[in-house]
Order: sequence, then structure tokens, then C-alpha cells
Amino acid sequence: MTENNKTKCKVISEMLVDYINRRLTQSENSVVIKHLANCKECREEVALLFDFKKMAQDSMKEIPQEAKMTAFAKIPKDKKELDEIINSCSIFMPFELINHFLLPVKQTLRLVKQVI
Amino acid sequence: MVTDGFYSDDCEKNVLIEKAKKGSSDAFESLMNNHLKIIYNYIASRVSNSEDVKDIVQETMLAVWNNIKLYENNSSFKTWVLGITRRKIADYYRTSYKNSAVPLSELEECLSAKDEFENVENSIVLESTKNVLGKTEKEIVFLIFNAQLSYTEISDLTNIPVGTIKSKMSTIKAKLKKQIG
Repeated sequence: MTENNKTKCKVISEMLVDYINRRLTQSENSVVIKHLANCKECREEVALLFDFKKMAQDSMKEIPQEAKMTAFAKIPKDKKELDEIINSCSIFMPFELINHFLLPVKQTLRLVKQVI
Repeated sequence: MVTDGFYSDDCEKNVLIEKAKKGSSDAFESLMNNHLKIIYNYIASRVSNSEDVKDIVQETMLAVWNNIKLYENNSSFKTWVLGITRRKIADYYRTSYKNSAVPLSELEECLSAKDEFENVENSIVLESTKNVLGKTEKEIVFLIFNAQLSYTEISDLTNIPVGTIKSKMSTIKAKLKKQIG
């Protein structure tokens, strides 16, 4: 391989990660594809990177149901939901309000009960 | 416009962000559900106790919610969220360090070891390489192949210079190539 080609390969090699993650601009993509068409070594490197990426993606775990259910427990609910409760003017309103604020606590207790 | 690679329609994401900024928890949950798996796995790759992972996920969601008005559309939302996640992991270690007689560096290694706990949710990528790659290398591998961040984004997130990340990536590729055989 000539020095010029080696330099080109070094430059392209640094772009390959962004290439496999589709993070290159259209013109950068074209440059990489054009180089890959004529460089077996870089094509082999791309294949290896795709293998690594696939292995990495396959080893990702699904978020457990418990973690999914509690992820947003500390986020205050929409003001609209609270307004609807307040505006319902139901005789049960105070209980609905209390129930609304206790909901995250109840969800947590339910989960604890499942675990125990 | 900076794209994240998660949304086929970036407009949808931007609409959800704007609604979340105005206080819509429904929009916030829809927005963050697309990132939950990455966030969970990122935390689980650094913290082995599953209960602690759940807590840190919760704290991360809350921190993103509390700070979403500060997010500006000129940076990647995913990178911004992962930055908050990273700080929450650091907070966890600081708290653990304060309550422990073990030095911080040793504590981090100890808390990250997969075989320390029964119900470990350790999702470090490429399980077969965990004894080959260093802690920083493992993080870079996760951020590149799982989170699909660019070198610049990883640099912004970790404060490691782009040149150093590229250099580490060369080492990582050589190690992984050897490991796969």
C-alpha cells in the first residue's frame, strides 16, 4: 500500500464508526463509500465494526418491568389531570385528591408486595 | 438540526420536548420512553445492584424533568440525557463513598463487578470482553455501539478529548478483534 493510501485509510478508519452509526453527512458518506469500493482492508474493518455493533446491541437487556413501572414515579402528573379532579365537584373529591397523591405510594407498595 | 437516530421524525421529538417544557408529564413520558432502555443499560453497566439501578433511573428521569427547560435544540437530546445519567451515576458513587471506608476508585470497581451480587443487572456490552477492556474502554464501547454517539458527542459527555477517544478506539478494535479471533 502506498503512503498516500495509508493516510487515506487512516482518515477513513476514523470515520467508520460514524459511518456504521449513520452519523455522517451525505457528502462524508459518499467519500467513505467511494473509498470502501477500492479498499479491501477498510471493507474488512467495516465488517468487523458491524459485528461488534450487532454483538453490543444483542447484549443489551430489556428494562425489567419493575424498573419500567417506577421510572416516572417521581414526575408530577399533568396539571390538567389535577384540574379535572378539582373541577369534578364530586362529593368524593377530597378522597379522589388524596387518592391521586397517594397513587405513586400505592404503586410502590404493590411492587414491594410482589417482590415479597 | 441535530438528529438522534432514534426518531424517524425529529419533528415528533421536538414537539414532545416543547410540550414537556410546558409541563406535560404525558409528553415527557412518551419522549423518555424512547431512551429508557439505553439509560437503564448505561446505568446497569456501571452499577451492579438492581435496586440501585432502579433508583438511579428514577433520579435521572426526575433530573431530566427538572432541567428540560434548559435543553437547547442545538445539541443532541440523547447526549444531553446521557450526560444527566452520567452525573446521577457519579452522585451515586459519591454517596456510596461517603458511607463507606473503601477508597472511591476501589468502590467503583467493586460496585461494577458482575459477580458481587445475586441479582445483577449488569449489561456491559460484549460480555466476553469484560476482562479485556478497561472501565473507560467499556464505556466508550457502550456509547459508540449501543448509544450510537459520535466521537464529538462522547467527548462532550465524558470530557475525554476526541483525539484520545479515537486513539482508545484503535486499541479497543485491536483487543476486540483478538478476542473474537
